[in-house]
Amino acid sequence: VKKHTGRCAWFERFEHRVARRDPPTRPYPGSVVETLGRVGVSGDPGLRMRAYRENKTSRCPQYGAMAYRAEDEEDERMELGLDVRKVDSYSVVDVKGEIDVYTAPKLREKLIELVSEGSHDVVVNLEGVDFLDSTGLGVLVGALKRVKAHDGSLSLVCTQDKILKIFKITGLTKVFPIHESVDEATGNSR
Amino acid sequence: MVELEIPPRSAYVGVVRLALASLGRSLDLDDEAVDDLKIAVSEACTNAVLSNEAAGGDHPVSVKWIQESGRVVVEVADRGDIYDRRGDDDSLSGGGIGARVTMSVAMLSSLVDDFEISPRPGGGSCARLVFPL
Repeated sequence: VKKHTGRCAWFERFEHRVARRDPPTRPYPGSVVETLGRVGVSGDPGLRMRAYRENKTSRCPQYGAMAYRAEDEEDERMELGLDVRKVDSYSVVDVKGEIDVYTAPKLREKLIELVSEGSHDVVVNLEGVDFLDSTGLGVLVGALKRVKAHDGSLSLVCTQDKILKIFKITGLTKVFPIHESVDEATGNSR
Repeated sequence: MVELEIPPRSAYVGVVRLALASLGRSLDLDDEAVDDLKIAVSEACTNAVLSNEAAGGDHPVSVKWIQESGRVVVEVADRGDIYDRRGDDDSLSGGGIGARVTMSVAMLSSLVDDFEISPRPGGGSCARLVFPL
């Protein structure tokens, strides 16, 4: 097997979506398998994934985001959306996208900014999050310590099993209050 | 076998996650299994990238996808230093490995069938993850 080193050029130009209902008998032109093959990496020809060459028109947001990554490595963490709103005395951060080693710094910056501006009761809404890893957990734990230092609170909103699973595995369900809705987290549920 | 080599930078962890998730789907793994695969692979790559950064090197991270009967083995090899605290937002523990790595290892241990991390000759470590098919 030949190796491909250096920048993942094969990934920079494509957007992807899964075409599961239409399994190819041989790699689609522009598919991961085909591109891997072209750059000298052997792959499983049964791979059911198709790539589109269109420019940044994401058909599958989850994968479409990938196209931005390598293009602008240093900044443009387009795949993580962060919207802040005030609900009573709480600052609610609606997070959208994937929280990983690449995007977590953006979340950390936002949370540090909020605390330094005097928002000490923070709700992080994870309902729009597709992926969360240990770097994301690290950021949340860090933010919890910061608000606690100001006698504040940090609670989470999450009902997705795949995200809750991460908190259960790491024992962090005992550390964070986890709510089913923003209303519940801000004491507005009835 | 599929082998990928990525530069040891955070932007490429998602590339590996996406590529291996699609390999998983091609084997008809269900959504939950693919989610577990994505998290585990991502954790191993994150550890590799951050520990490589810590060691100050620019050695590529190698990811191998090895399909065997009834299982898939994923090997992630780096030339970094797993004991570095980089990536810890705030350290929770007093000594030893950092809080993020501790959480990462907890996640890996419970998401895969078998997980081991071993030192490599010449420096760095290799994480070996076994997934049932």
